[in-house]
Amino acid sequence: MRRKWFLFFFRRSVSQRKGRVAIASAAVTLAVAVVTAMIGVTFGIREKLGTELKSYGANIIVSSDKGEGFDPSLTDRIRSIAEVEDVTGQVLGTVIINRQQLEVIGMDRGRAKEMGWRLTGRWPEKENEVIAGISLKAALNLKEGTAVSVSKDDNTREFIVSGFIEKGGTEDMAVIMSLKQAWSMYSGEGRLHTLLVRGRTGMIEQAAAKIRELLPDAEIKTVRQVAMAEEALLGKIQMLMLLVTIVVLTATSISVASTMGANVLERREEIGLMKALGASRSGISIFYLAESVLVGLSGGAAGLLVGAAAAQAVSKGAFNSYIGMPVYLPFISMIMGIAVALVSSWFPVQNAMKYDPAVILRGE
Amino acid sequence: MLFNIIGRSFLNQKKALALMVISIAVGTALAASLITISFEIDGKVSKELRSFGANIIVEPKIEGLADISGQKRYLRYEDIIKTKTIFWRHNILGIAPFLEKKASIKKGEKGSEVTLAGSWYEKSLPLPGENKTFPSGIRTVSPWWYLDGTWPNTPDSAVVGRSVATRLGLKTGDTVSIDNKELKVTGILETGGPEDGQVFMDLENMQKLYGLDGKVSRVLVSALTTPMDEFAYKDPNTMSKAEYEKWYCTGYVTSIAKQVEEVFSGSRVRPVWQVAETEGKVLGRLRMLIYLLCFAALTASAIGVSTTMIMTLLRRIEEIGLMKALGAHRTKIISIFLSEGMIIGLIGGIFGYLLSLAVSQYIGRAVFDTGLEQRAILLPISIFNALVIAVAGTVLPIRRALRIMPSVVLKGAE
Repeated sequence: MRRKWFLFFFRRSVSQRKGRVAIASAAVTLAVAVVTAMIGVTFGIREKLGTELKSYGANIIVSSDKGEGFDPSLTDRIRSIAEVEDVTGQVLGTVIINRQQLEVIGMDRGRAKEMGWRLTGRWPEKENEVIAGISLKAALNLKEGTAVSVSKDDNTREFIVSGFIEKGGTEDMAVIMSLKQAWSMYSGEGRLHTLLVRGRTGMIEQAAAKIRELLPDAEIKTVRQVAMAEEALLGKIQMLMLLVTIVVLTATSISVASTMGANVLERREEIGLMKALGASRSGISIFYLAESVLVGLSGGAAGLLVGAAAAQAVSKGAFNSYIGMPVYLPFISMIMGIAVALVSSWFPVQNAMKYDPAVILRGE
Repeated sequence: MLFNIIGRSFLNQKKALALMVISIAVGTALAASLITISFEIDGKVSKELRSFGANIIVEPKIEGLADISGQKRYLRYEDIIKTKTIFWRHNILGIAPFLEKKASIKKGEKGSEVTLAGSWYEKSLPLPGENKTFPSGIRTVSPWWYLDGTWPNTPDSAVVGRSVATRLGLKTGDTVSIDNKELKVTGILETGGPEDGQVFMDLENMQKLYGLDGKVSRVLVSALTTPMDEFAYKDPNTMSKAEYEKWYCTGYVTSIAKQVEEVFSGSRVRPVWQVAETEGKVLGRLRMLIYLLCFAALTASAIGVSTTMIMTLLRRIEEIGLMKALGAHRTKIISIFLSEGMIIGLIGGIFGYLLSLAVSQYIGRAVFDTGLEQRAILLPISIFNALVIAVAGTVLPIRRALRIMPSVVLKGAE
């Protein structure tokens, strides 16, 4: 019986006051949307900035201690570590060109492109084409298309220089070959000397530890320059976002509190009438709080949608790609919506119950 | 009459009024703070990005293959400080010179060939023609270097890289022989880069030791730069005079490099592209991110504030009914509510501006460790924002109020 009456009142109360319920839901929607969007962007920014910072290069360098190199299949095993974003292997060695000893870097040259090395000329297309560091251009009097004879011990091969690379590091004085070309120069076929690993930002130490487990004998160094700068930058940006979120949340929660509060305040007469008809305090509280839960649910769901859309719009605008949302985000949004609605109506309801029904019903 | 009604209305609903003023103040404070932040985000983030290390490298000009394999050319020591005399001198944040030489290191039985480098960790250089000094050294270009111990200041001390220390079993306080000279190890250096395999000395002491007075082999420069755009990638040699002028006077990494090259005799100055390009990209992304966040935050708070106004005013529907019943004209009602809204907006805007001073300073200090410059122009902007929000929040309730039938409202039903 009581449940029936409760439902009856509840339906009436909501359906007859659609406008007010809608405004209250809108306020909750706004608060939830702000938090959802901020969580979404904060969560996504690590990954996105990580991609941007990729051109900065490896943050973990693994080199073989005894000089015998690694098997190329190791790269796949390292890539399967959750904390590792990417890994690429290099062959390092020296060759003789024009009776001078020069360094050779054998690498997947597609990576150089990704890493933002600057190229004059063009990327190698044929099997016998190589790129030279920019400093060699003047030193060896090279041009695009010049043929050079490269020798290692008594193994001599002809290569064509297709372009020059400029990085601002030691690579500028080296000859850049593909892995295959480099292996063809050396007898130690099929081995990699250095593995350049990009650990996910914020998890570099963990990634290094996992690699250490895999390769206990290798020398594993985290590049402090890259690691520290990334962490510091991300830390600052996230701190900024957190503070902005807090301020926006203050502004929006005032609006939730005022709309919910106004809703209850308007209905003091109703509360008075209920009391006069013998309703218990807890019965009245439950009635209004149930209404808040409804507002919270609808506001939370709408806020989730609006917030997620806003986060995607921000990400699309800033990083030109969408972000993955954490799976727990819907739960957080819904719980937050309900919590915000409940908290902001609890005090006005308790307050309204203090009044004497007789006074309220008389219209004071 | 109008003032009387407004005055009464304010006196009789202090709580609602306070709520509206507070929410407008918070909303405008947010807007003003975000504007303050976005004014300075470029500079601040650029500065943060400098922790990625030097973006300009100065080396002796290479003229033949011999210069690559065995170094014979050097830069001049006295040119170092000239870097602070170029057009973009204020953008030069750090300078670190290095003198490099192959040396043999020995500890007991074990020994090997290493690169011996001379530099400063921290040193104030007097600025030419000015009564000021400029802090230079490794600390200013490579803040991530981790030195366990102290930088060597005497001719008979050195710092060894982590890999060297491990290979030779060295600790701080040990002595080691470098080119047959006994040096005391004052610290172990860890960077994760090639420095881990090198040995470091004080620059001047190393110059004296090897008779290389006044010579350095490499100088790293850290400069605040304007992100490279399409124009910046043009070859300066093919630019027209006006274009060249524009390029030269914009703080691109290439134009700053060019200016540094002009003051260093016999040098070749290159940008460290890896650093320069990453920096430009990250800066562009972050700037966009902050702008979008500011926009989203502003929209959210504007809607929130307007909702508050609407809800507060809706409570006064009965009052409007009474006014109408007593014969008040539409314009009268509109002017009452609009002037109320504008007064609230004005007060809220002023409070909001004051609040933003505190908020933006706090955010500036918390995030970037420095305060943000306060701009007086934000006071009128804040008041304008507050007025717009307040009036927007009043329009809907007024329209609603004008539609109501006095008799219905006064009877108590809606």
